[in-house]
Amino acid sequence: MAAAILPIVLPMIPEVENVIKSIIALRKKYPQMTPDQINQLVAATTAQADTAFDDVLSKIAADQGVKP
Amino acid sequence: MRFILPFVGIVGLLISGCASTQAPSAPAAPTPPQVTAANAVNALAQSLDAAITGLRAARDQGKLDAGTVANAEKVAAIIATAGKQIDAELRSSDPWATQKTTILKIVANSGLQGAYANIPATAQGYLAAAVALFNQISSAVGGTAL
Repeated sequence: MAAAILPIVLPMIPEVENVIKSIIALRKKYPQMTPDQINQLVAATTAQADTAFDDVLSKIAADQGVKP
Repeated sequence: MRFILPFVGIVGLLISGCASTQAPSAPAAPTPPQVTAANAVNALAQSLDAAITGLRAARDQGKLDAGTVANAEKVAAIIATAGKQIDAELRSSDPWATQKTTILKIVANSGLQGAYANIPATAQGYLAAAVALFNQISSAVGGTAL
């Protein structure tokens, strides 16, 4: 309903039209990650990866010991 | 003028209702490259574990001999060691430009290319997913793919 009214209303008040258009044109910026947030996320992800890498290396070492 | 102000108020209310539904949505912020790299290395780590499991199963089923599996596991160990080094660099306080250079050196000095070429294609198949992810990481920092 509002979308239908605006095109009709705005031309009737030309001195306000530009103001309204600038309000509509304002964009909300998505929140950017802070450096601390980036560091925390990288730390958590790499810790998970390291656990998996260590598991792989342990399995290989154990296997090499059994079947050199 | 006094007729315009209430009108502006009404229009403003209408716009505020419209803005939430009609305003174009801004594009999402790009993912920081360090986060992308960390996710790629984590995916590599998970795929490596699956590769080892597959290689052992192939050996137990007689599809691959023990020597081939041992050499393939050495390739996996090289990837895992390089992966941990990359993780350590990603956790450092170096700027991304420096991290890229360091990661590139890790990849180049890993010895992976020679070790990978020494195993037969049948064994390479079990490591294909892990190698593909390693190549992605290498390409992201300006390195070459296997």
